This record gives sequence, C-alpha cells and structure tokens, in this order.
Amino acid sequence: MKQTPRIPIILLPESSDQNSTIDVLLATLEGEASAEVLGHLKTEVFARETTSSTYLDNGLAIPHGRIPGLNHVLLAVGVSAPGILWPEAGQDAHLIILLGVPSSMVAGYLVLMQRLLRWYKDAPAIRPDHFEEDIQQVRSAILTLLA
Amino acid sequence: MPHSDEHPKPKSVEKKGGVLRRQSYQWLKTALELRKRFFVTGRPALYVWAVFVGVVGALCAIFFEHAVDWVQNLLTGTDGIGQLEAFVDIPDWRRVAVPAVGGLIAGLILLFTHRFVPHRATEYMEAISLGDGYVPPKPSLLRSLSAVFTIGSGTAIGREGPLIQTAAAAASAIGCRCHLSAPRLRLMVACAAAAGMSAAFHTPLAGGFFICEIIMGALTVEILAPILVSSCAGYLTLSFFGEQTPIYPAGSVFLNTDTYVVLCCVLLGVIASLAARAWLWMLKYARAKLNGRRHWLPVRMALAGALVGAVALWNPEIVGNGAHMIRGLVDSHYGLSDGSLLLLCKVLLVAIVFGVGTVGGVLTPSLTIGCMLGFIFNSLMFRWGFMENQTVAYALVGMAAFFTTAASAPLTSIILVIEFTMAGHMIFPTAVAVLVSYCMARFFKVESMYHDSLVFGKKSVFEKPMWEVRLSDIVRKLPPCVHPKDTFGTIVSMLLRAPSQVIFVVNTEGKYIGSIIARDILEFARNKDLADAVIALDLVHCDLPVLHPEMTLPSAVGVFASQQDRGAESLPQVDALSGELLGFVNKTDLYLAMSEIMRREKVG
Repeated sequence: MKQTPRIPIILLPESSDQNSTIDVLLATLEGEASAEVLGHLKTEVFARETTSSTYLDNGLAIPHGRIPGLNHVLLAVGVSAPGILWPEAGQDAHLIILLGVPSSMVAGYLVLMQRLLRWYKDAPAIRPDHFEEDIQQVRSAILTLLA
Repeated sequence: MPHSDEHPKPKSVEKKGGVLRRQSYQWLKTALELRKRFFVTGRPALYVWAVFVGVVGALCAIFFEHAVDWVQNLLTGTDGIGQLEAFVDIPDWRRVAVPAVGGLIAGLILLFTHRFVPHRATEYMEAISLGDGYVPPKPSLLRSLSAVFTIGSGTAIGREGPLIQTAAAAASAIGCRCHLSAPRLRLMVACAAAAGMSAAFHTPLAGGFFICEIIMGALTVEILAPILVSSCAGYLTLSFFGEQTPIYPAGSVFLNTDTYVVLCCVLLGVIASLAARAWLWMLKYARAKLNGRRHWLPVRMALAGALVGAVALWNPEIVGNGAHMIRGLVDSHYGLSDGSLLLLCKVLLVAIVFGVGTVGGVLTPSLTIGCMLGFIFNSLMFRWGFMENQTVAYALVGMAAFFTTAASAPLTSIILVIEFTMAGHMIFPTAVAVLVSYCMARFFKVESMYHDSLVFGKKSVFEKPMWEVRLSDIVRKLPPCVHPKDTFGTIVSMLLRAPSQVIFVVNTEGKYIGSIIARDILEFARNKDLADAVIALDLVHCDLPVLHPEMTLPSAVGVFASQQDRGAESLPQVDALSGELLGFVNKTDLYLAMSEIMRREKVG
C-alpha cells in the first residue's frame, strides 16, 4: 500500500453537519487528486453513506468510497469537540476520517480499516486547548498505520 | 478516543449484547481455523467428494443386501442362513410359492410406481452416460424396493443392477442438495456406482473399471482417478463390516500356459463370444416377446417366479443370481451332466425373468453362464482326451471371455474375474481368451447388454456438438448472493456455511452489481472489529467480466483466461437486457464439460 504524502487534519466548525463536513474534508484533499477524482469520490462517499451509515462506535465515523483512477489512499481527518450529527446512526461523530480507496484495493482497504479501528480504541483524546500538539500525535499515528 | 473531557465518550450500544457477541466471534474464529486447515477447493475437493460418496455408495449396497436378506427371511420363514440353504430347508410348496409371491409383490410395486410417481425412472447408466447425472430418487428407490422382493424371493436375476442404482440415486440426491453442477454430479454418481459395484463384488479395482470402461467410455486419469478413489473407499467401508474377503476364492487355481493351453484359451474365447452373442439375442427376444401390457406385470412376474420355484424343486441351486453355481463350480461340486442341465435351465429362466420386465441385473447371471460354459468346455475336452481336467481354471477363463462380449468390456472382465477369485496366476490365459472374445465382438459389431441404456434415453448437453452448447446448459443456478448493505460478518458466515470462491452482490431486484472474491477477505474473517464496520459494497469488484447465457463454451474459456490473476474461479451469468443475475459458471465445470464433449466428438 503506497504511503499517503500528506494527511490533512482540521478542526471542524461548530455549525457543521454531515454533508458540509464531507465537503470540507474533500476540499483539504485538493492537492492530492484531480477535481474529477474528488468529484467521483464525493459521489461514492454519499452513495456509501446512503447504503449504510459509516458511523461506527464511540464517536468515530469513517465515510469512504472506492473509486477507479486512484493509485493511492486518500485520507483526511476532521475533529469536532461538540460532535457532528450522523443522521442515520443518530449519534454525534467527534472524529471523522474520510477515506478514498482505489477500487482494485480490497485487502489493502481491510488492512487499513482494521488498523484504524484498533488504533481508535486506545488513542488519547484530542484536547481543544492542545489541538496542534494532539493532532501531530494523531498524524504520526495514522502515518504509522499507513506504512 | 478523541473526545474532550466535556464530551464524554458515548456508551457503546452493543454493551448489553457484549457477552453474546464474544461467544459468536469465538465460534467464528474456531470455525475459520478448521476451515483453513481442512477445506479444499478445486480438484482436491473432487477427491474428498469421491471418498464421501464412496462411503455412501457402499453403505447403500450393504443396506440393500440386508434388505434382501430380510425379505428372504420373511418369505421363506428362515433366519440367518444363505438363500440356497433356505430353499433346501423349506418344503416343496414353499419353494414354488416364495418366488411367485415375491414376483407378485415386486410387480405390484412397479405398477404403483408407474401409476403414481410422475417422474420417469432413470437408469444410473443413462444418467451418467447421456444425462446430467440426475437420478430421480422416488422411482429409483421404488424400483429398488421391487428388486429387493424379486431377489429376496430367489428369482433368477442379478442384484448388482438395483444395488448400484440405489447407490447412484443416493449420490444424485446428495449432489443435487449441494447444488453440484452437471459435470460434477455425473462424476459423483459414477463414483457412487463404482463404490456400489465394489461393495457388491468385493472388487475395488473392477468396480472402478466397470464404470469407466462400460459407462463413461473413458479411461483417462482425470476420470479414472476419482472413481477408483471412490470404489476403494467403498471397499474400505465394507471392511468395517468384516466382509471384504473374495466372493469366489480360487487363489490356488493355475494353468500351465504352454502353446497348447493358449490355443485352448483362444478356442474357448471364440466359443464364449459366440455363446454371448446368442445370449444377448435371447435376452432381447425374451424382452420383446414376454414384456406385454403393463397392468399384467404382477401376474407375469408371479408366473416367472413360480417357474423358478418349480425348477428349484429339481435343483435349488437354480435360484438367485447364480452366485451359488459359481461357488459350487469353483469348489468342484458338479459333474458334466449336472452342470450342463443347470446351465440350460439357468439360461432359460434368466431370459424369462428378465423378459417379463423384472427389475434386476444380468451381470452375475452372465458371469454364471460363462463360468458354466468354461466348465463344460473343459469337461468335454477332458472326456475326449484333449485336455487335462482343469475345470475351475477354464471356468474362470470362460467367465471372463463370455462377459467380455456380453458387456463389451475386456479390461473389466479380466480385472473382475481375477479380483473376485484372487487367482492371480490366471491373468495370462484369461487375457488371451478375453482378447479373442473382444476381437470377435468388434468384428461382428455386437451390441452389449448395456447398449440400450447407454444409447437411448434423454440426451444431455454432452451429446450436443460443441458449437451448439451454450453457457446456459452448464450454468449453476442459485448463486451465493448478498445485498450491498450486508455486513462483513454476514458474508463470512455465508462463506463458512457454504464455502464458495466468489459471492455475488445483487440489488433488491436481483440485478447484478459485482462480485466478492473470497480470497480477498478470508484472512480478515476473524477480525470482529470489521464485522459490522465493513459491508458488501466495500468489498465488491465491479469490473469483473460477466457471462451471458448465449455465449459458447470456447468464448467463456477466453474470458476466464483473461482473469487468471484475479482469483475468480466463478463468473456471473447475467441477462444481457435486464442485468439480472441468472447463475454462475465455474471454471472447472466449464473445462470438464468441454473435455467430455470433445471426447465424445472424437469417439463419435
């Protein structure tokens, strides 16, 4: 699995909802893939969301899509202290990890999901007043997962 | 994870069911370990199936024999003794009444089958040779039940046919339940038939060769190997019941094979072949003349049974399939005149019983006739001073030579006779007579006694020319399917319950979306975190090629070849217009079907 060169991690605005969150996270990936690919990813992410909610557990949501024309994993992270309502699950997501996975990658996708879920269980909380420091730790951890 | 202290972590909604979840994951983990260790796919799976149906076939054969014994005990009023001994013990009136009553009951069962069971009975030979391996269970079992009464009452007919039919019907039922494709089902039924034959004669090799040489008409390793595995499994099953001894032990029989003996064997081969031709003609004639209107069948069978009983008043050895006569001959119990008279009576009685429409085989009766022929040949030649007195040896040679022409099966004849007598020293003289007999049979274009079953009957896809066969002829229905939102846990459970290399994803209207390849996901199957986090839509390959019902087999081979590195052993068959998933085509089935069709076209 090719290592992603950059993992944008942002603090999401308080007024965000699910749709705007996904749009904001896609926007952070503009340098990583073409507009066409990102547009395709947006379609797949929402299609996936419609099929089955990507809210998992304990405040984690992993909206994602598998698309052709991609040769590496796209990953963007959003953090929200108050939480973003994930309507289908009826829960607030505090950590949102947007994933774009090449459509040919199934085993690699499962490896990544497995690692993310295991990491999330024991990862420390992100403190709003220590945001920059904590996100560096998150970024390092995710880069390690992707390696 | 990343919640501040003001927003405590939400409680898990699954906490209440946490214990139950841990238990179900533990089961999944154990099941996956077992599957990883023991599950096989592809060609090796064929051999696992062969062993399984071999055991099933042998158990059916043993059950059939016990059923025959039970009927014999019921009708003769004896218990735990052989058929010959039972007929010796019972009074004269019973000797006539038992086969008559047995024939009547057997005929009534056949009548009932014809009237009330809608499916036409399919002989196992027809199912394997011409059909798709499917043997309708109800008519087969009812016909076998009829045969149990016929054989148990001592009527002069063979038991191997219905015994093997029962084994084949059982394998067909199991194969259909497991949704085996047509080529696999045929092979599994053939395997069970070989195991039944092996159990009937205690001959694992001959059981396998009988099916391959006579019915499948192929002795290639791909077909012979699983069939032999099955017949050996059947033989081994027999050994658990302590019954694996040779049925006609003659291990010490020996012929000094000098030129003169070889010439005698050649002569016997010629005589046996001519006699077998006459025998086949007699069977056909009897069936044409005696098998009249169906509603008189019970009466005809009762009368035929009574005739057997009447002859048994003179000599009880006439009852049954002739196995007593072969044993008696091997043990040198007969003189020339006794043997000749027994032979004449046996030939007439078997022809009559067979001719009236009795369900049963003519394999052992044919062996008996050949055996007696060899015995008479040597006895006469000895009397005239041309040979030494070696009746048993020539009886074995005559048996093999006669059966060669009767069944058009030279290899099976040699192996069968040598195997069930363990007379290894007799291989060469037997082979000489068999070759002569076979050459004569080919020269005169003799149709074997199995010819009708192998030629007439509903044709299957394997009888069509290659250019006529379409994928719809070999498609497997009921493909393993999931919906896009089905969870990873559901998919893994499905793979465990019904192991499959590919699972198909369809929408609620049954329209094909894509395929999930088991190889991609099985190593993650034990991960309980993924069970609900991942769904079928996350795993599907939408870019695999689809097949259409009207595609030819060669074009499908090309499609499979292009996907070799993807690990897709099965591809979906989709309706070209609606996109509906109709079934799937397995690569091994495709190759098996093509191989069989090409073989038949070549033999032709």
